[in-house]
Amino acid sequence: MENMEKREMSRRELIKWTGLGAAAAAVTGVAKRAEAAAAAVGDKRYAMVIDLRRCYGCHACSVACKSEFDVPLGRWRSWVKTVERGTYPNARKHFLPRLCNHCKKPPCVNVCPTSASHIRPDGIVDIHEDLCIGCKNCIAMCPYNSRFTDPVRKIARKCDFCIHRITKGIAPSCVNTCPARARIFGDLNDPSTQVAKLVKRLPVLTLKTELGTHPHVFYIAADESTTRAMGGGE
Amino acid sequence: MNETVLYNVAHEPAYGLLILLYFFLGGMSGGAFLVSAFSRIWGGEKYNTITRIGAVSALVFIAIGGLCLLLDLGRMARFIYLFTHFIVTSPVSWGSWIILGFSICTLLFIYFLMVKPDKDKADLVSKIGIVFAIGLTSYTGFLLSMGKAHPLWHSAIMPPLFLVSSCISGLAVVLLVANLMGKKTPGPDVTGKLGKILIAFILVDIFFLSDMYVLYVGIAEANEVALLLLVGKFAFLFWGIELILGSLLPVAILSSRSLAVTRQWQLIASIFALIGVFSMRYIFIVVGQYLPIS
Repeated sequence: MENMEKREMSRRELIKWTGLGAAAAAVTGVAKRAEAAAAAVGDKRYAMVIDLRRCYGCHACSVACKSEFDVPLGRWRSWVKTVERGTYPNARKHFLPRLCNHCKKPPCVNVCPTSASHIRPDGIVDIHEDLCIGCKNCIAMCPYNSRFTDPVRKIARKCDFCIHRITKGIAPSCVNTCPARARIFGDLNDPSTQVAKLVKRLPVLTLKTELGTHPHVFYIAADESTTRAMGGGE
Repeated sequence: MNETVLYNVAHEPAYGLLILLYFFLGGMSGGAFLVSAFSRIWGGEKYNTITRIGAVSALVFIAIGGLCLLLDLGRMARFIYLFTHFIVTSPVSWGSWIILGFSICTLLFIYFLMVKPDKDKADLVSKIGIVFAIGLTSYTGFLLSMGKAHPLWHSAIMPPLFLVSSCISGLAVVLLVANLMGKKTPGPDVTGKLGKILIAFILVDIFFLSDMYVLYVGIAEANEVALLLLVGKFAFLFWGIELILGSLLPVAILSSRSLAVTRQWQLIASIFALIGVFSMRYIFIVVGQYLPIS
């Protein structure tokens, strides 16, 4: 009981301070907006860990995502980049399941002229579909090729960590379907979750760390050949 | 080591033909306005025709460019949201307000210049317009420079580069129109002077191309895009069209004492300069999005 009260207090304080922080950032203006968004963290911080020691490149996550959202032809919210490295007999396929990185400092949110692209208090980068004007600048600025224009609705779309599922307490579609249990989803701020434990205990990697976007998709045992930007046919 | 990408997804490039056209026309419009306003401030009576040509072409090109921008929107009717929001971190948001302010200033400038001449008011709007014109010509560079994953874009040289090349296209288009005016064409002293200013801007633009070497010695992706331009698929566009046809030839023509004052050669030089600026925009839009980013 006491604990709960304490938690309640700290939460209230947190909200208070984030409120103050946001106000200060609004006053200081330019370039501070992204910081404010990053500071406006609620008590949850959703993240995904992808354990590539387990992934065998079955593309089930891509398919589950496609059917969950009825993603249009030729567009993908999630896919598995596959690179073959070496020559026979010393060759191996390496996989990199991809999705939106839900950056802490997302370039797409910075560039959006109508605040359709926004960062939620739980860390999910989402799009207000009614506000999106389809200017495509977020698509151009995303360093991860995660966004695309919906050919029917003509607005920007991307992975949203299956908000409609996780708010009901169900795992995202790709996580749910992964037969290898390579995709793990949870709240990074809760030390009891598997995600938090893995990120703390194991050497993890985020994509294009050097860009300072602070992705919240962590990879275990990713191969260098897959993390580099490289072309390839579908 | 042998590496083959067996599967990857590349979504279609965000910026297409309409954005390319807007980058060219918007820049040209801002440049033409700057030519117009500065020839009024520094030029005096002799430059009246130039002031008028600059102002009218600024209005025409921003109208067409703005239309391109509107047509490029996925949800055209929602363009109004650009003006119900102002997002400080977004160059697109700044740009929308700049285009609006610039168009109003250009309209008022033309009104006080030709419809209901009023020297003081024309002075005032031209000076406010200069601020908007500088914003209009450079914000596109700011926008591209936010593209962290595109080494060709992610550079602090982008805003000045876009400003300078917009001034080139503005000067070139004013020179072009001035030479097509028939009897009303200003004398060679005026057009010759414009030609000399054009040379100066083209030289600055050529100097900015040193950015290619910075890219060449840069990180892996930067090196890749530099090779694409310097020796790869787009080498002809870069060396042949942008540098030789679009920059060196106009400088050569306009530096020649005999050619610089003749009407045909001024026309040719200004067309070449326009082609150069268009190819520069083409390179930044197309080559900037050519390489995979994931």
